[in-house]
Amino acid sequence: MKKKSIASKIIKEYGIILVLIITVIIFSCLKEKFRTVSNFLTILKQTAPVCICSIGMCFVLITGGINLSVGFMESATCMICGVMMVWWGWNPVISVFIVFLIMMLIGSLQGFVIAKYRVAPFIVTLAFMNILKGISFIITGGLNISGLPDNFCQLGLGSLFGVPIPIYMMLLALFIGYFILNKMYVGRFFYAIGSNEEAARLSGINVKLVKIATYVIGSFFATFAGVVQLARIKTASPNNGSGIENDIITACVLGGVSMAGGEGKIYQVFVGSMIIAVLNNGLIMCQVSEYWQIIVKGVILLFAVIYDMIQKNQKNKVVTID
Amino acid sequence: MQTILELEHVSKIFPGVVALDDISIEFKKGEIHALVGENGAGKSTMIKTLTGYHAPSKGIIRYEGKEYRNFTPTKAKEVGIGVIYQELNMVGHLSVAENIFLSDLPKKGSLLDRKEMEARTQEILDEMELPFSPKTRVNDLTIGYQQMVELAKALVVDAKLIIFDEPTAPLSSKEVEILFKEIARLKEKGITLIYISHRLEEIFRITDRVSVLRDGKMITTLNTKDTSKEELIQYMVGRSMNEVYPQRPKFCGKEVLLDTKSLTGNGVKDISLQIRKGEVLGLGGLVGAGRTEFAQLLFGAAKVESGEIVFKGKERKIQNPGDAMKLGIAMVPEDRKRQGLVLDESVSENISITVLKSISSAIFKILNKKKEADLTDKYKEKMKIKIYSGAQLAKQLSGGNQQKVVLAKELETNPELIIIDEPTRGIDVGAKQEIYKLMNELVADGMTILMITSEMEELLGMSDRIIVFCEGHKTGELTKEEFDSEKVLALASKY
Repeated sequence: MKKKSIASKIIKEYGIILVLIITVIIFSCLKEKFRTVSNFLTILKQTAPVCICSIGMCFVLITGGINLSVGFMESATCMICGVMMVWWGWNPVISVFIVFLIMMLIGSLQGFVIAKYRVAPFIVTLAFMNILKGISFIITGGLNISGLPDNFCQLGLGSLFGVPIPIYMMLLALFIGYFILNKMYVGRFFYAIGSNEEAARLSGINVKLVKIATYVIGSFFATFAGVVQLARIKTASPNNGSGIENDIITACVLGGVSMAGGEGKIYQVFVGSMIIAVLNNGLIMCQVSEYWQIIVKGVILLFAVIYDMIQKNQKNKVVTID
Repeated sequence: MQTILELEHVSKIFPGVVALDDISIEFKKGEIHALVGENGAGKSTMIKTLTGYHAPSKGIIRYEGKEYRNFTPTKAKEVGIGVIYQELNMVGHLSVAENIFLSDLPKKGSLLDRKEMEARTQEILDEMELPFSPKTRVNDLTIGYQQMVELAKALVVDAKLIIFDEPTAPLSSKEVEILFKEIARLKEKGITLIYISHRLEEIFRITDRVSVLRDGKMITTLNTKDTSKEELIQYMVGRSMNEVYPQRPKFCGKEVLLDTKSLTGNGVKDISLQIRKGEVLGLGGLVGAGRTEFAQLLFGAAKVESGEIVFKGKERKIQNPGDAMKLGIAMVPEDRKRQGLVLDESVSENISITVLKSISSAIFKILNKKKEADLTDKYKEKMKIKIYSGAQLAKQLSGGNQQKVVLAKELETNPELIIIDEPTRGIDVGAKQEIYKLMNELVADGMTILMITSEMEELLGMSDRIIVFCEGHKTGELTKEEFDSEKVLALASKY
């Protein structure tokens, strides 16, 4: 009996890793090309921007919020970088620094509106999604900016010890997220607010400030993802981040970050985004059409949220029995 | 007069608590029958039994001659029992007419017959002499009129018996008059009314008979005109102290720790009181008297509108709970599951939440998990919290242990004043004693406690001094020599 419960606990806790492993095994069996080191590196490289951005989303979801604006935040990041580096010929380091500042300012504005006026995060970030979308298109009238400096593009295209740089960037981002959430004491605040905001407030936590910080962190990682993405594709386009919020939310929820707040771990974000990347890559190799891929992702998201709700309901049952 | 409803030897037993103990009572057709009793006397449980939300564990409900063993909410509605709860049960965005007919919308074919619905609503409103239109959105009405809509909802399904649960608590005095006029009209129509209120004046004004409940038992039923307020209070509290409270030396400190000057805000008005260093000051009063709201002002959990808080000799502006904690004020909130704990987190995480900064490194603010574990161990031993590990989730603990965890997290902030709101609510007898002992130890260590409690025995047994609130006002102060449950209750129902 006890053994069984431990096994079920492991499946509950790490089940999503099993799902990833099984997916990898299936594709490996189906396609020889899939199970090569270079393909795995490609998958990791491709998923880097999604994974980086998902880390920020993870913070937001843990506090019980959501951020729909991350996709066009990436686009805006690309466009502003493009303008600074290509049109004005600014130093890439300075440009990247400035774009981080701008986006984090926008993030703090989002957080401010959400915390101060108690507007639903869904609506606030939806509004910002439109604003950022508009900005991204206005800058060039919808045109792309190409010809980014080579040294900047090394960030996306270069390799170190045979491993593409975006993978290092992803590891760095994962480490930063893990460090804030699990090592620094403020990490606890995000969980506490997401689980029980009133108790958090009465425990002396400055809930408003933490919420603002959450959206600043969210925009930090979105910008980070935008920079890596830009360096990888060498061209700033207003559509660079269009629609990727879908993949990002799917990655988080799939990994096990709860939409209801209070729960989520950094490794889950990584696993969630890996599952999406593996599916994308594997389905392409199996020559499944792009449209079918979209359907597959939708179905998977659906199952992930249903599973999340079932878990939540079971937990609530435990509370009432007590 | 004919009997409409009768309870025969009805008991309701919840795990660990006998909420109703062998209750027998009868309600006569067309009378206004009051139910009175202290907080927790069993009035709510009784109503819930009458309306089918609780099935009685034992006994029979007889309604219009028929016997029911297992009453359900649908059945109750069917036979004509309506309830007006203190918290109204309405869809604020819908119109008056829609709310009244929500459970049985008039239809024309498969479409809603709005005309018919509004016409019928108008009839009822006219009959009740209410001045608003059926199309008014319920949210746009005052609480008093919303209550009238609730009443109309009961009337439209031909209720023969209507239960009012503290109907006047949220009303202004003008609205109370409108309600009483309506009640008189209902009585004329021959509808039976069960009226629950803490306000004894009202009972003498409108009811025919009054029944007193105490500790889940039916004490007596009297004709209202043959009794007096004093007699009722005696019946309500007349019990022996069955809990033994751990003793502590008589308090005779003089130093004032906290002083409020005409403190107003969050529903309390003009409160001036002093808390002396080292005492247990009990705040007595009925549920909703404004005691918790007052505590929230001291703790920075609600905004002060006017008045001053003087703590340790200086005027303080307490903007949020963080400010209060820094000053040395802590609070154990009323509802530990909703306000005190993060249930999905571990015991350790719950205890350390108030002091995370101080157990983290200076650079990078890295949380020291060792120190956190030590903290848990310290309180586990000191308070005898029953856990097998600090990683156990807070929601898995019993009520008493949860309360200890909340107390621990508050104590770790090293407060000088700790506000404990309902220290032993929902806790079993053994754990209660432990909490009382802990409170005594804290006072012995020089801490000051402001205790809010709705249990009379606890108030009398644990306080050094009692201040009583009623309707957001301070209505009196009793020194240890003057402690007396009747005095407290009289002050608590002054308005």
